[in-house]
Amino acid sequence: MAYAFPEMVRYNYINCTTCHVSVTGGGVLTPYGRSLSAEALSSFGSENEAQILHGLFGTPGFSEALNLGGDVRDLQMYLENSSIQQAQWIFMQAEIEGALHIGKLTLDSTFGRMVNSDQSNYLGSHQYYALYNFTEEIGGRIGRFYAAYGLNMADHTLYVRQDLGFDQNQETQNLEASYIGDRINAYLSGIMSRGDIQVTQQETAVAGQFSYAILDRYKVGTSIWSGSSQQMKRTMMGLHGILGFTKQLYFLSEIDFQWMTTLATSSENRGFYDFQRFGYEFLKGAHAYLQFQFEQSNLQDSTSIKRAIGGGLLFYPRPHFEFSTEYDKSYVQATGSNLTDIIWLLLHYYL
Amino acid sequence: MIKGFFVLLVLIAGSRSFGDIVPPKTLNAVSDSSKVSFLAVGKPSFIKIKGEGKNVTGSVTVVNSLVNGSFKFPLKTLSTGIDMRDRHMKEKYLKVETYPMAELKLSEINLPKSWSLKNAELKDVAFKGTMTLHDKQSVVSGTFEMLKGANGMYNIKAVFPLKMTEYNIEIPVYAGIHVVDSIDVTVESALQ
Repeated sequence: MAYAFPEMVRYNYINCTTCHVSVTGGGVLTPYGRSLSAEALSSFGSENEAQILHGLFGTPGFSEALNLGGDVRDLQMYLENSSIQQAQWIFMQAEIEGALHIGKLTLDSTFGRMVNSDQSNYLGSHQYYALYNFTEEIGGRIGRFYAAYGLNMADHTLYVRQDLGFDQNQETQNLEASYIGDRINAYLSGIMSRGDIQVTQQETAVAGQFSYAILDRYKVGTSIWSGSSQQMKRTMMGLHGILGFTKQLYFLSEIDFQWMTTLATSSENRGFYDFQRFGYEFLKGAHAYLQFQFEQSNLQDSTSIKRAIGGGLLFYPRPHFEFSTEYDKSYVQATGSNLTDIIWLLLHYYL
Repeated sequence: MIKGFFVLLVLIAGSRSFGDIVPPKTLNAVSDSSKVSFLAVGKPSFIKIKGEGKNVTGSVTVVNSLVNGSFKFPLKTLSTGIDMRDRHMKEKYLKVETYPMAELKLSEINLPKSWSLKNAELKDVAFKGTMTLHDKQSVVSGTFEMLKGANGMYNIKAVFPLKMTEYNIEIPVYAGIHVVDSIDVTVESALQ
């Protein structure tokens, strides 16, 4: 399955459903999204090559009724500070995804390798849903997926994803209503549970997101979340922006505030999370970016500060392939004054 | 004396009517500073398809407070920024090899009586015209504006919708996306 690439607003594609079946973006591509993976995303490639199995069988006759995708991701990571040096290869993901369209109904599911908390593997699905399009703009969806909140970014290790409950395989069981219009996107979600974690940690929540497209190249939005579990109550609010200044230059931004109450101690905690990325496509399919992240999960406790500044390269040489590398200088106050160098190389194949 | 008075009256009347006659003025489009752009919408997902064409030629003629004119541009110059989409648009739907040019004829735009080339600013003036596209003609109507530019030039902008089916252009459909029949066209030209 392909990942969300909100930077496509640069081409006036302000709605994620242009390229993806999911109303929040990411996941299996629509036929139009496949063609764009050759025409707009990749350095080289043909319309036929962007099809499933590299167009070995041309454009399948079923491609509008059944969208198929799949994804393999490998990560090589190296980190170093004054205390540790660590190199690690992580086989992150191997799965397929299919979306079947029957009239106004779409049934979608992934299937592949899942990882337990003890790092053992099993076969299963981390995302599945039924989506009904009442009209071209209004839809309803039920299943397991990421509820609409903030930027739907592929990098699950970003503070605004990982530390707010949107890490890999943390999709929740949701009931969602969506409006995808000419300029406005709006979502209202009821988050019910995640079945793979302890009952005491299962959060139920209500979330909403609203975004507005300006001049067909800029999209700004706000998100809100109110949830509780047996252990805590929390409210999150955030602002995000996807700004396509030119066809080459873009900016992604998200800031979030979280208010959390730990029920056992009645202690209240306010946190701040920040993500900023400037990107530039210097050659078709090749991007360089600078990135800054900041987190203070407890504004009254300076030891909760984390910072990372760095940059990376993204390269989409041909349809189905993505290579990315990133270097970050990371600082985690809680571990002392160590600055950590983190480098990773990601190899991503999407079917 | 009375005869002289009547001669004077005739001369005064004559000078007033000569003053009312304004010689026609023709303004020609500066091709480098002129373009045609369009906005089409693909559904579902409200895909915005923006395109531009260049090498616009043409002219407008102002006679008293009436404006006539025509503009042409070669359809092969159209570009939407995505090569495959441009190829489909020009080869499959517009068939530019067979129908290379598009033409807009402006017919008798009535300008306010107070308008003159010295005081040329106009906004939201209604116009009707005839569009020739794909070897078909159809009436179009929209709004027209004019501003005085630098170096004695005039900048005009005409905005109007047109429906592809009125010109026997097949509705573009690609990969599950169909383009809405009505598209918005803008002609911008510097005239001198």
